[in-house]
Amino acid sequence: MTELSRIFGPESKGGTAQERAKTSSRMFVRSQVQLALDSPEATGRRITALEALDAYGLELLEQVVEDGGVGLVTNPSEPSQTIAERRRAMRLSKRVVASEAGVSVDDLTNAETAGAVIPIRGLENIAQVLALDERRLGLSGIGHGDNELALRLRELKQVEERDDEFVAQLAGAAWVIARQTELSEKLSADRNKKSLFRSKSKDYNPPVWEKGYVLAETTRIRLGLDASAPIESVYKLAQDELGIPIIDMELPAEIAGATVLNGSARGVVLNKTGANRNVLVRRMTLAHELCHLLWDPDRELERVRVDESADLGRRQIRDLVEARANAFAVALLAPRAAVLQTHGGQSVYDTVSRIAETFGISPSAAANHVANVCHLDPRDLSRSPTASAAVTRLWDRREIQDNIITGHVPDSRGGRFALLTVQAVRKRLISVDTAAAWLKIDKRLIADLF
Amino acid sequence: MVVLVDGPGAPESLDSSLPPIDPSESSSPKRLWAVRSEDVVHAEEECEFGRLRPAGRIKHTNLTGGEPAFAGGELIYLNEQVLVVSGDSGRYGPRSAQELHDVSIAFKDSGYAVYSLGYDAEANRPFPLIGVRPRLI
Repeated sequence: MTELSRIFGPESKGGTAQERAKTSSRMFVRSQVQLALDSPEATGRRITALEALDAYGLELLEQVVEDGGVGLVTNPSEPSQTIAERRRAMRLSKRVVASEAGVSVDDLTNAETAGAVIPIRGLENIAQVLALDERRLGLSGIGHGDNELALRLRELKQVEERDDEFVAQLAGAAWVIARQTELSEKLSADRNKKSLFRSKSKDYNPPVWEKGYVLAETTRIRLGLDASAPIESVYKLAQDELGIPIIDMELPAEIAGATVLNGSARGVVLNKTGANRNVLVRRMTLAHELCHLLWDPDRELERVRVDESADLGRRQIRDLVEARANAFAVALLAPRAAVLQTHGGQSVYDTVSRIAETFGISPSAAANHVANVCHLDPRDLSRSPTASAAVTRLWDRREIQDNIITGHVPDSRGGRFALLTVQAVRKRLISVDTAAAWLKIDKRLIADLF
Repeated sequence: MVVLVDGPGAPESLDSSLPPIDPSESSSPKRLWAVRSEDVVHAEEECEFGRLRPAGRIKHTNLTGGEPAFAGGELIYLNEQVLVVSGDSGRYGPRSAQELHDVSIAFKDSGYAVYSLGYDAEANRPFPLIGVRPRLI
């Protein structure tokens, strides 16, 4: 029997460890301090051979197969030191981290105490809230996460005076963004067109709205979108075409959304409450965040950039980065050429109404947009139409997401993340146990999908 | 390799648990143990013979000659009266918490104070030496 057959089982096929792992039916089980061959009596986290290979490497798996198990921790202070330092770096209280992770404060205290052992699932949940890679937790020198993200989250709390819960939510979203990006790549689930936007635009010179319009037009060209056609679903555009994770969450009402960078994975966190309850506003928010992601240099975005609803869609705004993103958003959704075409031969009121309905933007945003594009006096737009319930419903249906386990999965883990997670189980990239932990549901629910 | 001899008895007062062990910083080297049919043997893992092996250390089968044994694991002498014991052995490791406990009691009954790493139900095997607080048996 070859070495790879011994590690991955005689049924595995292929010439490389990756190929063997993908075709292996061998399962491993992880606890806080060790990785072992799976057995019916083990109660830890079951993982596939591919997950084990990716997280721990071939040499370690070889040892597991030879000895039945192997310690993962080489520094006796781990993983407690990483967890404690990370939480302190983010200036998050134990109460908030424990609550977000669904563990007791005592469990969190134990997780931060060298040598104390807590159930692996609790440990993983804590790691996720702190935007750490839970799979590598405990391994020396690995699993310490994106330090700049931690510092930025601390800054949000200390300088921007955001509360603990919100910061913890963003950290949790950062974990989802990293994992979704990884799954999307492994499953080749998106067209990765964000690679078309490697060079960024530092041009915020006045008139900045004009810069936003031009960037929107360039974006449409690069994505191969018809110059004047409506975008049916901004969610799909972002996730299917660009490979940008969109994470829905219930955030404080004044927040519209945020862009978050975790390691090399950047995504959008979108508030599903507040003004974003309205699908027409939500589409604008998402398009606004896309501008940040596609065009703003990293220095402007930092690790996290939070946008407040009050700043989105405003005509007069001092922050040039936000002003450009506002112009981009409305012009991406309702292209300038289409607005001009629509305006010809009808009243301003009708134009605004038509633009709002056709392109799925709010009438007030459409009114400002029409005024800008057609060089109208804003006073001519004192009376804006309102969006009918039918129009809103129509756009709600178009923006419908990949809700396969709706109602069972937390908002931040639903949608595309849930879909990719289930696909990853189908392709044996991850175990049912991993999927259940990622989606925070009972694994019988996942098993029922197959 | 030496046969385990009876200890001098446990000290009168000991903490119920210890900070996690770092074998690389321990004054006493890590040893492997095995309960054979007639005796209990142990040897330094990175002894001279072990350093000549491909892995750079001995395995439990070097203690048993590949023959069956009742149990095996690792130990560190904190001093001549106190042992830290794990059941971490691929081939001879105790297969349940009870089995590990029974072995730990046997060490204790032979005249030592014994700290055990315990059994990891999540991995269904004994805890290794590193990363867990040893508890007094």
